[in-house]
Amino acid sequence: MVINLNRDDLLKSLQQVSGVVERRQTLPILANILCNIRNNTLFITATDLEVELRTLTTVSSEEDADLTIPARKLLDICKALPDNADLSITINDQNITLKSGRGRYTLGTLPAQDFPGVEPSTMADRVSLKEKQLKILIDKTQFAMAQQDVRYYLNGMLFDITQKQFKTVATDGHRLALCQLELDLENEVNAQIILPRKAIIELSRLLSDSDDEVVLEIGSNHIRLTFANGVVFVSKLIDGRFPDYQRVMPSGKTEIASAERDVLKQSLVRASILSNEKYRGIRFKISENNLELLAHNPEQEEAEEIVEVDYSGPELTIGFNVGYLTDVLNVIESSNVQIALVDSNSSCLITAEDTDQCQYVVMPMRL
Amino acid sequence: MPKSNGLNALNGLNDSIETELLPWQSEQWQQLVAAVKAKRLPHAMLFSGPEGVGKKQFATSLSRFLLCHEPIQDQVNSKACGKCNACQLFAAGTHPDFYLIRSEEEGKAIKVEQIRELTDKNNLTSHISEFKVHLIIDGDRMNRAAANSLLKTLEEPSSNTLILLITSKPELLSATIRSRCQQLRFEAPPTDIALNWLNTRALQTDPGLLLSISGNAPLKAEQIDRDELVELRDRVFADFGKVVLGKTDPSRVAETWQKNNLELIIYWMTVWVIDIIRLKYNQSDPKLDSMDKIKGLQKLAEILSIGQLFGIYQQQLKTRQLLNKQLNTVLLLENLLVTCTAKK
Repeated sequence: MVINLNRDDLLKSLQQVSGVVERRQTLPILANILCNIRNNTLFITATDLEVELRTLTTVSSEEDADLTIPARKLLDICKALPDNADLSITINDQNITLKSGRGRYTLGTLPAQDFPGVEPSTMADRVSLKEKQLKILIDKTQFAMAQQDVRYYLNGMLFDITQKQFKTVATDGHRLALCQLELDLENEVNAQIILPRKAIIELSRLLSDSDDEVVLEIGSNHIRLTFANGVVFVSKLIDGRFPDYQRVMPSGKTEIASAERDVLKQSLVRASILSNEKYRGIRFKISENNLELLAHNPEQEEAEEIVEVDYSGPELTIGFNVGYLTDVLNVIESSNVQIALVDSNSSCLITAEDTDQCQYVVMPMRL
Repeated sequence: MPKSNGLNALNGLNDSIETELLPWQSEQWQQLVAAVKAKRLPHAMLFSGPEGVGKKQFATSLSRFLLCHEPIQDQVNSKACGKCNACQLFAAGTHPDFYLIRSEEEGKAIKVEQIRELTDKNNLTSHISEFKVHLIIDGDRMNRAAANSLLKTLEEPSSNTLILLITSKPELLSATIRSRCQQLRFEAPPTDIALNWLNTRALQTDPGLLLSISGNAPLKAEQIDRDELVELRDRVFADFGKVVLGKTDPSRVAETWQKNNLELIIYWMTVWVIDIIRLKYNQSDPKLDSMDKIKGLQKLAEILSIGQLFGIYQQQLKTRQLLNKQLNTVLLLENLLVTCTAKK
């Protein structure tokens, strides 16, 4: 049987899924993409057994068919073909023949039933929200995820979803980022799931700033996201329990220092140059309306910066890893930030001035 | 020239993907199926026993049973259905919840990266089946770093996961690994059962002989037949005899042997030495493992002293342990063969 399609349509779909195709290829079939043709629509699925991504494109075909095609090779051929070229693909038993213009390419295939896809099984919870909302939830917190930590449940992001609220939390044990969104769902939802790091990075690539709806479906082993344009993203979950993040939120009496974000950030970046390269410690000496940043390194070089802040509490000296602070200041958008401090041995809480939609906890360092 | 890697070809899981239960394993099978039903399956198991008794085949059957969507639940014969999506993927070798670890290169160790990958997969939820199965073949091949990085995973198992370790040399596994696994022993079956089974296979050689030269391990016997190793054994015996009699140069023999399956060769030599010792004590009506070589063995018994025989035996055990330890195999063999030379 023969299917006809446009090079640009196919290329766009292939590029979308190509990031997911397994590079190390423990199983040969994972280097292939699954192609299902149904009613003149071609569904393309790629998986690395951790995340699965499906896109679709229109083709013209008389029959339905299922097969798997080597992803990399097909993508490279498509890339090299001229814009808007017409393609025809002939499907044989063991291979396909791709023709375009006067070129002819024969690619080996593997049977579609050997492809380990996630079955559309029952997903218990269902949440729908705007793409840009989810993008904010993820982008504001993903920097705090741990990387290859033995506490495997930290190598990912917690989605804590109830009927009224959607929270994302990421932590590596030294700092924590939390972002929340008020929801008003019709159905009851109660889900706490951890998405693996890889899924989060792939998702943040996929999500756009649009107002389109994206539907999340959560099962016991998987999460599935369906985008308005028909793209489907499925990921496995981390099989573990996320630590109780509420307990690390500084509570009780806090003194608040408010500073201009850009000024503070620039000063921190400058001062960090002379901090210890390994520990990146920086000392905060805070007194009334005055914040002094001090850094020094093993070569006895020193940096000192003074930042104007709005502060009326008692004098306090506290150390931080400067990398954690600049990470936070990079994702906060408001012009002023608030730093809530308890004492020199307790974590601080950083928020934007106008909203506490996002909260960042950074643990202090003993210097 | 017989195929060089002999028995190790068995490592190709495709050979053992036959999930037919071997007749001498039904007791272990019943035990585990009952554990699955009662949801009492341990999180980690160690299958130990001599090579070629079907440990891999058993582990594969068990994995397939656990991963199957609609296993046949029968009083006597529970097994995977063989029809569902999971079974199909398993047969194709692409089941996403089945993770196989073995040394990447013949004779090399299992590396720490492989175990780390296992740990990563272990922490994620399963893909399409209820269970996840990690199968580590020849677990004794794990190097120290690999074994240590497995400990944490063995200690804090995630739910619905089974880690299966297979080894024919459990003594080489560290005690910390062994103590974290439930051990299941697989022994060579009684001769009559093994013979019955071998008779159902299409063999070129006499099953009795095959069984006696494979230490009663039926799958090993079949492999010896398939790789035509009987002839190799004859040659090795001739060489061994010549070395003992001092008619040939041990280092040259070591050179010619080293390309073959050394484990098997040393096993055979050990059996012969034990047979010679038996002959020493009982000349009139000896019961030997290698009855087919009795003439040659008797000749050797005449010139080797008891003391020397036990010396050779010791050396053989030591050599067996040192195999796969990345030593120079020619020197290792030479050392053994020099010990075998009869003292004038």
